[in-house]
Order: sequence, then C-alpha cells, then structure tokens
Amino acid sequence: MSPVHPDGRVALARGGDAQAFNQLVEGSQRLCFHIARSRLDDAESAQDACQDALLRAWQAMDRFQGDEEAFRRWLVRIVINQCHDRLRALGRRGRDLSLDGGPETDEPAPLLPAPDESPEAYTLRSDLGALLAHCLNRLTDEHRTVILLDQAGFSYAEMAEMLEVEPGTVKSRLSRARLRAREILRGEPDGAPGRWSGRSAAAPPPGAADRGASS
Amino acid sequence: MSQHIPLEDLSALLDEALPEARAAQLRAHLMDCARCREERDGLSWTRDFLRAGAPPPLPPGVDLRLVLPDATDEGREAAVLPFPGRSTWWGLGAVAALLLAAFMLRPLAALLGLEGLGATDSAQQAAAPDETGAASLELAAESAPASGPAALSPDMDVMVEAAGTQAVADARGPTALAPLATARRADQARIVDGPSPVAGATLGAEAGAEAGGYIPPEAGISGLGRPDAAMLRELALAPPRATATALAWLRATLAPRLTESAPESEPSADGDTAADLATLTAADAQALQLLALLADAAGATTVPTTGGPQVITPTADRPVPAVQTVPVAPTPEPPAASPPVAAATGAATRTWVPALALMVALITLSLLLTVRARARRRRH
Repeated sequence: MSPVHPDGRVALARGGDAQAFNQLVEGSQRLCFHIARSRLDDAESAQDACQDALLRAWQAMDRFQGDEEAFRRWLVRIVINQCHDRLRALGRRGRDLSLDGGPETDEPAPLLPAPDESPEAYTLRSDLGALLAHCLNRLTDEHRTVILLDQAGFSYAEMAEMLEVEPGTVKSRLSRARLRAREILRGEPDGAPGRWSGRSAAAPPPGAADRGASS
Repeated sequence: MSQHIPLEDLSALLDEALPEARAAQLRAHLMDCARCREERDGLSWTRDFLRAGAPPPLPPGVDLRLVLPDATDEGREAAVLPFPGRSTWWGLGAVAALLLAAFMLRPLAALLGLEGLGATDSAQQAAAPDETGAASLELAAESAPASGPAALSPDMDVMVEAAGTQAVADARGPTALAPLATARRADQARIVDGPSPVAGATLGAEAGAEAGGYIPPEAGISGLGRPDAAMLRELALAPPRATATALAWLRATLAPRLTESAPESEPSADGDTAADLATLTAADAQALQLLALLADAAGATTVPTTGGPQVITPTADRPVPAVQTVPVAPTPEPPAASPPVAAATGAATRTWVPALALMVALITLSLLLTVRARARRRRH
C-alpha cells in the first residue's frame, strides 16, 4: 500500500478520491459490519446497510471535518443511522428491549496472518481473536453492540445518542455485557446464576461490612 | 458505606464515567472491600480484553467498499445490460422468438423455390466448401438487424442457408443432435445419392402439409411442374434454413452486447464463430438445442416413403437448394437491394402477417415477464 499520510487520505477522499475513501473505510469496515450485524437481523441486511452508509458518507464527504479517527466514528454513526432507518422501514422500532437474542450460530471467519506478522504474533493474535469472536458471538445483539462501540472508543453519551437510549441505559447495558462476557470467557453456561445476580439490590453478605472496616 | 458497589457503577468507574464525588466514594469503598476489589479486577480484565481486540473479521463474501454506480468496474459492469443468458425469461423469450421466426420464415423459404433460387446463377451453385458457411453467417448477421426477419430477402436466405447447418452444428456441440446435423450437412453437400436414412427422413410430405397454412398456393407442389421430390426436399430443408436465419438475426442482435468492440472485430473464420457461439450461456445453448430439435421435428416428420430412401438427383435448372451457397465475396452487396419477397406474392404476405403479429405479441410478453422477474430480484 502506498504510504499515504493519514490526514492526506481524508483530504484526498474529501476531494473525490474514491480509492482514498476506501482505504479509510478499510480500517472501520469490521466495526461497521459487526455493529450493523448486531442491529439488524442478518448479515445480508447488515451489508446492505453498510453499503448505504458508505454511499451517504461518500456523498457527504465534503462536509466532513476531522482526522481518520473522527472519520471512523462518523462512519459508525452513519451505519447505525442506516440500521435504524431500515428497522423503521420494517415497522419495528429497534430491538432495544430484546435481550434474549440468543447466541450467534455462524462461526467467525478464520483470521489470516498479516503480511509482516511473525508466527508467534499471529498465533497469539489469532488465539485472542478467536476467543474474542467466540465471546462476542455468544452475546446478545444489544450487548455486542455496546461492547463494539466501547471498543471503538465511544463515550457513554455518544453511545446513548447513537442508540437513542438514555445514558443510564448505556451504563447498565455495558456493565451487563461485560459481566456476561466474563462469564463466557470463564466458560460459564448461558443463564447460569452469576455472582452479580441480584447483588445491587440484595443486602450485603454477612460480615462484609466488618471485613471492609477491619482492613 | 455498607453496601457493595452495584455492577453498573463498578463498570462505569472503570470507564471514568461517573461524577467525581461518586467515583471518590466508590474508590474509598474499594479500599476497604476485598470482594468489590475482586469484582472490579475481573471486570477490568474483561473490559481490557474486549477493548484490546479488533472486531472479528468479516464473514466470507462480505466486502465493504464504496461502489459507485459509474466510477468503478463493478458499477460499470452493472450498468451494462446483463446478457440474457442469465435470465430464464430471456431464454424462454429467445426460444419463442426463434421458434416463431423459424415458422414465419418457412413460407419465405418456400418462396425461394419460386423466386430466389430460380434467379440464382447456376455458376454460383457449385458446391461451396463448408467454410463459406461462416462467412455467410457473418454477412447475414450484418444485414439482418437492418431488415429484420420480416423483410428477409430471398438472396439473404440463400446466404444464410449454408451457415445454418454450420452454426447449428457448432452451437449444438457433442449432443445427440450432432449426428443428425452432421448428416444433414453432409446431405447438403450433395451426398444425397447414397442410401442415407436422414435424406429419406427429411423428405417429409407431412412437413409440407404441416406448414401448409403458411405456404402460398403459388408454391404448390405441382404448380411449378417441378419434381415432387425436389419440392419436398426443399420444404424439408426449410427448417434449418429458417433456423439459420433466426440464429443469424439473434446473433447479430446480441453481438454488440457480447463484445464491446463488436463492429471492429468481425470474426471470419470458423473458429471465431464457434468461439462467439461458445460465449452464449448454457441457457442459450439449450434454447438453440431446443430450437434445432423442433426444427428437426418439423422438417423430419415421418415420411411415407415407398421403397426405401428417395434419391434426389439435382437437375440443371433446379438443383438441390442446399448447395446454393453464395461464395465468399470480398465486398458482399447488401441484401436490402434485393426485391422483397412480400411484393412478389400477395398471398404470402397475407399468410405470414398473423404469424408476425403473434411473434410480436409473444416477444412483448416475454419482455414483460423479464422486467417483472428483474424487478422481483431487485427487491430482494
């Protein structure tokens, strides 16, 4: 790949260079697709939504201000908006309340080694990647969405705006998604009573306060 | 503080998303509460793990790139009208059109016995090599779209004639029909004296009767005082000739879509023709096969031959029409200059007008179906 200055790609894309635009997109396409996949029902709709988002971003590129990181976040917003438009067109108002989406059935694609990657690094990365994919695939769509958005560096307020929910919902949902991910990584079965179940509302276990006070 | 930290607060604390007062309160609790520290550590590890990884790769077949309708290769390909072979409806439409063209051209082929063949110089009727077939096909392909099937002149039909069997044989490939086509081609190369079963089979008395609706009365068998066998032979040969004409017409119509630089690169050799035909998709090949089959069935209907295969001896003035092939001319004169057949006999005009109307109707119907099928596909 030609060594293009990161900001130069944004400038080139803004000037109408579709190739530079696609290079910008390359860094975000996984995030975009998986977020769209989490919002919509199937991979085909997700791809369509992403393509629509790309076209919109391309058309609005001259109004975009910022660097590559800003572009990524901007693109993700457009993708989510496209997903919402599709859901509205289908007569559904999102699926914010459905937390029982069930585990994904499609296995993730195998990771391919990067061109300059050492075998050790590839093994490590692919193992971690497979573990992460395994974990994400078993989360519900809502949980996966917030995990991915958190991964992409969005703040609670930004996520709340994009997902059209209250910031408190994001906070709660993200915490539960992390808890569930932890359970999955530990190999705990789906729906197993976790250590946090009912914790916030329940009384503290006996002796907890004493232990806390003594140390 | 006696209560353990709620999950979402612990999570938000990791993200530094809590008000400072609340965060300080929780930190103070964490200093004292080992269990909350343990929970925080576990949550923190999970958060770091999830944040460290990139999103999983895209599933196979998914590629997110900007596809501009007119700036990229994909867009340009999509802008080109897809070759009909991709659509079943196109195939059906082609079959219907070819079929009707074949039947429509039968009276014209019969008229050739009256006008076209009679006017042909007998010097040109020497048995032409098979290679002329391809050249004639090219010639016909060039001139066909301008005139259309309805305005086919006798000369043109003659030109197409040799190409017909050639093209049909090429398009068929190694199928069950190939031997028949080969036999017929050999038959047309004046190997008619031998006891060829095909020669006998194609001499269909019923073939003439079947096409009687389209044969003008002037073309009656006895009206010309010709040998009955020769007339029948000609009628039997009408299907391949009509097939060839329709093929040439179809090919000329579709050729610009097959290759973008069609006008410049006109293939002249047999191999090129075969290659061009090979670019037809399987559906079209099937359509052509079906057409050839139907043409054969129409032409090779059961013959009540009496006493073995008939032997046709070409006469000087009325040779077997199969051998009348226009040799390859460096500058082929446009066949549009030839007098139209319809003007020759009004009866013929009256007979094929309904056929033309029917053909137009069927083509329109198939086009409509194509549009609908495409719209349905686009909706998915």
